[in-house]
Order: sequence, then structure tokens, then C-alpha cells
Amino acid sequence: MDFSFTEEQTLLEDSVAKYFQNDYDFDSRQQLVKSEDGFSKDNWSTFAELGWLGVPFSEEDGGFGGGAIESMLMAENFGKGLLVEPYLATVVLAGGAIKHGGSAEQKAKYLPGIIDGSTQAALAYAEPQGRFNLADLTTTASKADDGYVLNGYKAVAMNGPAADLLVISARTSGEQRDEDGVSVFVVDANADGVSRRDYPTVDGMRASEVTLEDVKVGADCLLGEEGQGLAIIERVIDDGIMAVGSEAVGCMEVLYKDTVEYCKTREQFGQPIGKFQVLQHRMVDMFMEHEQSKSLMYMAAMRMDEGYGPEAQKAVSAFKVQVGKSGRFVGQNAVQLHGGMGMTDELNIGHYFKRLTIIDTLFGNVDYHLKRFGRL
Amino acid sequence: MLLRYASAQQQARYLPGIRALRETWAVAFAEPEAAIDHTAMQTVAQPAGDGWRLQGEKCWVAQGHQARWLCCFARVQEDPESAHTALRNAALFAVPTNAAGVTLTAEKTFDGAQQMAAVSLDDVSLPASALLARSTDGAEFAHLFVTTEMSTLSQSAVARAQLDVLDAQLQTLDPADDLHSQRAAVAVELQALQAMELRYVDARQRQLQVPYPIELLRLRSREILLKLGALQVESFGYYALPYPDEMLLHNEGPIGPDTAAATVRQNLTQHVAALYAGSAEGLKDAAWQKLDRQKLDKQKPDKQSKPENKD
Repeated sequence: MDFSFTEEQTLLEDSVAKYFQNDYDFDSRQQLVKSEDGFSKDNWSTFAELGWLGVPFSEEDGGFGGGAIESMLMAENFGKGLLVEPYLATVVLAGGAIKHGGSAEQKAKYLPGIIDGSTQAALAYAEPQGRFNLADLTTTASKADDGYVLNGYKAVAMNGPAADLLVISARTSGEQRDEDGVSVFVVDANADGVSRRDYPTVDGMRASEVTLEDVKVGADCLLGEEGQGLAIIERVIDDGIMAVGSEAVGCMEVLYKDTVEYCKTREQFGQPIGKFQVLQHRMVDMFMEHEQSKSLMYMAAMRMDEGYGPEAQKAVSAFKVQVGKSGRFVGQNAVQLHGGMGMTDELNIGHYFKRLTIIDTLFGNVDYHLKRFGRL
Repeated sequence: MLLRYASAQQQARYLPGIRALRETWAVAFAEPEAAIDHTAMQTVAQPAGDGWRLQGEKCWVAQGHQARWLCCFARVQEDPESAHTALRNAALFAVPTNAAGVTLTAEKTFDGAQQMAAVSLDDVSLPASALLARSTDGAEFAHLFVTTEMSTLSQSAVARAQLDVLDAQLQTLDPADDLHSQRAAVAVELQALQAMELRYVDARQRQLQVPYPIELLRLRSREILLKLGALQVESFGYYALPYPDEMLLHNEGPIGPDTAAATVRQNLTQHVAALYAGSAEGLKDAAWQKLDRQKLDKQKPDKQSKPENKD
């Protein structure tokens, strides 16, 4: 098995890595978290210029034609830098739904705005009662005139506050948890009947509760076939898992390295605490958790690039299970080994820990993915 | 070890017997006072005429009691007057177990198998050609023994086979049994180990620095095998208790499922084998030494690191 990257992939990764080294330090990141928008529109423009926003889209659609490996390499670096800009929500999730489910006309209508940075988007797929079940929907879309009318409530739509477009899953037929009868719509976030309640999330980003009251959309807003939308959501969520899982791998690398450095310099009892065997063993354990996660990250990305199907889904679930467990372990131990400093808000450690804790829960926790892994 | 250290002539002499499965070998490393701490090794080789004289005690020699040859670690003591030998003056010798002065005693382990041996070397005469290699750094040899790369890298395959055994037993259980979910968890760990082995091999093949010390692969495969073994035993429920000997099994047939007794025995053997190459803590110590030496450059991607000869 070949783990080497192509020259193009290496160049892409180097450019992303360099950006984070030079232009995205932790203190600036913290300022963005506290800012009104929660991220920098200037940064977003830079990402557009660098071509990052187009990486996962095909060349016909104006993108770079990148696959799972390219997205993985970028996301790993996003994780190292604790990116707050909504790449996941706009490009991977919402953009991904349009890419996987949209017609040629819909792609031509929506993707250019995403790729050039002028459009923000959010995928509103979750609901309060559903937890990780993507098919558990009470939001409805009833047929009316030459379109649909949406009614319902979507929970924790990441990047909801800034979104110009909302990609929404709603039920056009069937019972609440039926897999058939789910449809996906692209909705103007400022349309009549759409209201949002915005809030910050624990990992430094923003999300919204979205209420839909008699929201009218045209038939051309439906992505793919009516009632067949669950497949689009499932595919996009797997892309999302690859993205946040890769971010988690990047977070773990930073936490491990920072912890080793800290233990070498922090002195107590007359010596650097890194001389204590128990802590050395703990750091070895942290290293192993990171490497196991990284290894499954590569495997999952390779399987996804080989073709989306049960094998790829199985690899993605295995990756998510590993990342959930490893992220928790590395995050918690990094905090512990940093002692009192680990508790503070000013140190980066706690913020990486929060991001890892959230990623464990996003798109299905360890138990959920163990079940999916076992089923496939 | 022969491939790595022995001369062409020695390889020509010893390897054919190994290939043809005619002659068995065992590695004699540990001593009662010197196990994980190889610096305490007391087995001594003194020059005698053209050859050598070996004196000392070895223990926990895996498969030693059946071995035709021993690959034996010893310190070279060139000055017969000096009581202390140089700590780093280590050597490897090919010792025929039928030589005068060599006594093998089987050591019984708690899994009921007689897999190990104690070796007494009482003034054993060896020709010059028995010296396989010398090192000024005993740690290098000890290291090689501890981390025998090939066997470590194949452990995920062993675990895969064990997973199949578990799956066969799980099919007989209630689908709602929690063991199924525990099986899934171990299967994920096994996939991670496989991926790690592949990355390691890929780095070696491309002559890049390996991404992690091999001790950690050894540790992980051991942990996974022990978990799998535990699940296998648990899957038999009460039938993990019977411990019939061969005679009873032969005369009266199995007690419970016919794979139960063998599985339980094998699990015990795995716990014994978990100490080959040192305890988990020892492996972690060794891994830490290596990790500590690496520069933690956050800027440089791993794949651009300069290749090193050491793991």
C-alpha cells in the first residue's frame, strides 16, 4: 500500500500549513472567536483566492477536482490551527450536498458563489429529537403550487448565523423515522418564514436553531429526487466525518507535541516533570493514540477515493470510533499533564480539548459508529 | 539475527538447516539477574586458544528445551584476571545444545505448556567460527532481539485469525449479546494496527524514517491479542472452566463446545507470551527513549524527515 502523496497534494498541504504557521496564530484566533461574526471575512477571501474553497468541487463546476486525500490534508491542518472559519459548514456540508445531489443547473447556480467566497451556507439536518439518526425528521415539506412549503424546526445548524443559503432536510412523505420520504432543499436563509436563533458553540464557533413557518420554495430548490434525499445527507455526513476526524488528528498532534515540550521545561521537585516515568509512559500513550487515529485517517481517505460504498463507510466509522476515543484520551491527558496551566482559558490546550470533545459527538459518537461498523 | 549479523560462511552453515525445518534454534538472552536490565548480564565468554569458553546461566529461553542450537548472548572477557567486564562488550554465539557442558532444563509455565528452558553453560568450549557477532554496544543486540521486526509486523495477521475464531463462537450467541459490540471495538483497534503496520512497512520500503518505534507496534498487537483472547474465553461462558488433559479429552470427548478447551489453553499461552521481549512498561520505556531523541519540529511534515538507520 502506497502512502506517498502526489506532488500536487504535497504542494496543497504545504501551502495550507504555511498559512497557519505565518498567518493564523492562536491569539489572533481567539480574537476572532470573540468578534461579532465569529470569523474573519478577510480570511475567507484569502481562502477563495488561494483556491481552497474550490478544492472538493469538479473542474467542470469551477473547482480543483480534489478528492478525499486533498480534503483530508487540508482538514488536518485546519485542526492544527483550530480554524474558526466555516469551511466545514459551507464547503464540505452544504457545498457537498449540492455537489452530490444537485443537477447541472443547480450546481451552476450555487457553487460559483461558494467557490468565490461570496456565499456562506449551512446544512440544517439535525433535529432536537433525532440525536444521530439522520432520518428522524418532524420538519415537513408539503407539495404546493409549483414548489413546496416547509414547516418545522432544525437544531444546531453550524454556521447558521452567517449563512446566505440553508440546505435543509425535510420529510415529503412517510413516518417520522422512515428512511424513504426524506428530501433535501436549498433555501434562501432570508426567505419569508425562516427565523434563526444564533449562539456560540463550546468549541469557539457559531450555530443556529432554525424555525421554518410556511416557507415557500420552488421545485428547482429540491436536490435530487423527492423522497430519496437520505442518501445525499448520509454521503455528506460521511464527508463531514472525514473532515472533522482529520481536524481531530491535527489537534492531537499539537496537543502531544505541546505536552512533551511542556514536560521538558516545567520543573517541579527539582527536575523537569518529563523525567518522571509515569509521565513518559503517558506521553507514549498519547503518541500512540494520535498515530492510530492518523493511520485510520489515511485508510478511510483512501477507501473513500476508491469509491463510496459499504467498505468506505466501514472505514469512515472505524476512523470516527478511533478519533472519538483517542481525542478524548489525548485531550484529557494534555490538560492533566499541563497541570494548573491546563485549566486556564488563555492557554491553547483547553481550546484544543474542547474541539476534540465536540468532534467526538459530531456526526455520531463512538457507540453509534461501532454499531454502524458492526452492521456493515 | 543470523541474517543481520552472521558472516556469509556462517549463514551458509546455519541457514539451510533452518530453511529445511531440520534444525531448531532458540535465543538465550535473559538470566536470573539480568532480564530487562541487560547491563547486569553475567554469562561470560573468555578466549581459549583459537576459540572461546562460555560460562553462565540463562533462563526463560523460549522453545529452548527442544532447540538444536542456541543463539546465545554473552559478555566478552578478554582479560582473565579482571572480575569486571566492560559493560558494553557484548557478543552473540552459536552454541550447539549437544556440546559438553550445556544442560537444558524445561521450565513449566502456568499455561501448562513446557515451552521454556533454563540453560546451564559450564565451561563450554566453542570454536572461533561460533562467534556470530561482537558489539561495543550491548544495547544494540538486546534491541534487535526485543524488537524482531518481521515477527512484530505480522502480528495483525495472527490477530485476524483470532478474530475469525471469535466470530465463529459469536454466531452461536444471542445477537443482542454485548459481546458483539465489544467485538466491533476490538476489530476497529485491529484495523488501526493493520494501518500502522502498513505505514511502517511503506516507510521502510521508501527508506524514510519510520513514523514510530517498533516497540509500540509490538505493544499494541499484544494488547489486541490479549483482548481478543479474553473475548474468546468470555464467549464460552461457563465452559471456560473445564480444564481436561489430553487423555480425558481423547477418552471421553470434549466438555462443552469442542473448541473451548483449546481456546482457554491458548489464551493462557498468550499471557505467557505477553512477556516475551519484555513487559509493557519496558517496551514503553524503550519507545520513550526513541521518541525523546526525535526533534519535535511542528513545521516539518513527517515525510520530509531525513531517513535514519535506527528504528
